Amino acid sequence: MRRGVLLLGGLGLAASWVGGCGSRTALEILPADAPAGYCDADADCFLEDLCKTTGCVDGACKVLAETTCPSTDACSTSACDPDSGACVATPLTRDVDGDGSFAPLPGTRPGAQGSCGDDCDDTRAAAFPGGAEVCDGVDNDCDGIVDNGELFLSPGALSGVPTVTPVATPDYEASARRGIAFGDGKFTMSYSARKVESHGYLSGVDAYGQPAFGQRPVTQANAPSFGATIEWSGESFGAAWSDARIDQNYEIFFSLFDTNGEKLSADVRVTTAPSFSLHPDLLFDQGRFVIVFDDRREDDRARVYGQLIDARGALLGGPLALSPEGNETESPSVAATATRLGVAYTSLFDLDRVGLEFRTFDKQLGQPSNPLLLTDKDAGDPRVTAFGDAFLVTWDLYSLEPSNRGPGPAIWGALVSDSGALQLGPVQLTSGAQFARSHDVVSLGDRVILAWSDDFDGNYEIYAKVLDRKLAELEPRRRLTDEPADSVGPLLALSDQGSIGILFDDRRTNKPAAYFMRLGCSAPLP
Amino acid sequence: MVRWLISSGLVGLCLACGGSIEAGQDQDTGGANPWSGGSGPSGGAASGGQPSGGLTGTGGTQFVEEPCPDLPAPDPLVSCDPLGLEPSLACPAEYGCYATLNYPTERCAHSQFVSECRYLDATSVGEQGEPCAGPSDCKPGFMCVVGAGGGARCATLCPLDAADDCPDGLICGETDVPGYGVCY
Repeated sequence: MRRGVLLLGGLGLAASWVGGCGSRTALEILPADAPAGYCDADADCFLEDLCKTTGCVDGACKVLAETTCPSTDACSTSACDPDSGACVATPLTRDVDGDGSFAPLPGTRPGAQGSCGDDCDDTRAAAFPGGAEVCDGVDNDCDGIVDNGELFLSPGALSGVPTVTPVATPDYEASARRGIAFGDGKFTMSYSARKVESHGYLSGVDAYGQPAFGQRPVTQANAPSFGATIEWSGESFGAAWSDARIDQNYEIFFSLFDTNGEKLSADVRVTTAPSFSLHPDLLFDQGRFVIVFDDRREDDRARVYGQLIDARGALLGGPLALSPEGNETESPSVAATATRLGVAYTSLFDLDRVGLEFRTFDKQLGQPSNPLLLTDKDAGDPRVTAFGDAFLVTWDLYSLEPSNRGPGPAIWGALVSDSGALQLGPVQLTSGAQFARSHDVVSLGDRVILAWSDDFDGNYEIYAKVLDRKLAELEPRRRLTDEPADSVGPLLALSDQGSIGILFDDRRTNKPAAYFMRLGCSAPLP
Repeated sequence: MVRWLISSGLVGLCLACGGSIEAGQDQDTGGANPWSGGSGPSGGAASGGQPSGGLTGTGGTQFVEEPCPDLPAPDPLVSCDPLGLEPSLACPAEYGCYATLNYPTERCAHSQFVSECRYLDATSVGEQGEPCAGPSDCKPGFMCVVGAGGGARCATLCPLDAADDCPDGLICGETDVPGYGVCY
């Protein structure tokens, strides 16, 4: 037989073309160089690609037509499937958490016109429009509020000092907290631990504080490292950290980890600066990781940069300068509202004055707002937290003035719109202590939980309070640790089981170590 | 300016304080220039990550990290006691003891602790919170660290594994010099 093709689908092909995108069973491919006279009839000609209609023209098989698939809506693309010949629509957005609601397009609010998605949190299946709100640390109904009306700190929600457990295994001389995130039913914690020198590790506990997985290294490098800032993507944990494996110089690296702390991807080198790259902060937002950090690539002067990374851990473009030229800028923090990214950073105005600036960007880290100066002195350890449509910027007081070098008496904060305009403050958020330092914030949409350490009761202990949208107290200061040794540096993460995990440092066993404790929410008091 | 990070709590400590130590140009780094080479996306592989796989992104190089053997750390180079607690390790007059760190020069290597006596000149006067460009810009008993949001600063050395004498309000935070912290 000269044709060398099977004719199983000849009729099917004709039928599918008439129908536009039907199915058929033809499987053979016609040779591309088939000579004239190769075919006798259209039925002799078919391709595996059912999106193309072939026919016998002057004895040669030719493509006569191709199926076109115009998009039928603005939220999907349409293409012909060569196996079936059918037009298949592909949504522009994803439903990663499988709750039936799609994430919005980057830079759009969930449910807004043109957003193509209404899921307010596509990393958690328990959050979708119409969901029933329960006390689980999740905005179940996507109304912008987590655990509506629930209390975390008041009597009834918190009885006594929470149980505290060490994070690192006891064979280490010292450990220190670095990051905590919740995903897939587990708090994953990152910390440094030292025998000869410090290295970064992960370990996990479940939402109730029970061990979930043991200590895992962040990196296999033997060079010093200090744990990672971590974020849950809905599928894996992203981690960013600095280590000195390269060029006798600290650089920023990124990797992905599964929910048992096992590494999923190669370490990605994020920075290539000739001097130190430090202080990475990490965010997962609308399908991408955002890392902000400071490095000293220009004349050994510190400046804040950002880098986008896709959910598989691949760099998206190169680093972008986020702070203006001029003052040295360091220690950035990043958060995201539905439409903008907010970044706060310290700014060195002169040798004795470290100020604080904030600006917002679009979701590509472009279109920056003008820097908003929140204070021109005594700022340290800034944090940014998305608070509804606004950003809550919080910071420690830390003076470098010769007469008074060290921490100040309170944590401060300000509310800034997503366009970068000051809405409220700056205001003092804590009081009653001589020294206050190292704080963190989680947002519940209509209120935030602020945790910090101060010496209100003599030595440094960890406290928490709840603030409303006017930064007024909803729940007053509650003491969370009670030890003769200093307890400092709380880092917070909301679970989806109605608890808040807190990772912190103290010396209760006479060696510096990282510890974990948790708070639970409960029904409001009668 | 040659600088190296002796930080320790790069983050834990540096977020609030600093965590890296500055080694000024006067420091003998053993012939290695910490800033030589290493810029450009291929630096990661060149520095030790065996590029087995080599997925190249648009903004850098992704390399597969080969596991490192559990190599022993090099012996520390101890010439003196930075905390001044051991009389037999005191420096001569006009010299002060400084702790620094040699960062690894080969893949999978550890860093190496170094304490050495340095000549005290007119610049060796930095105290808590004062700016510095290298360890000798600080008084003995202080360390030049970066990361506090104010560039490199002198900070009081403190023992991580014992009670510290940090001034009121300050605590002893880890640096990347094993066993040594600074008040911040």
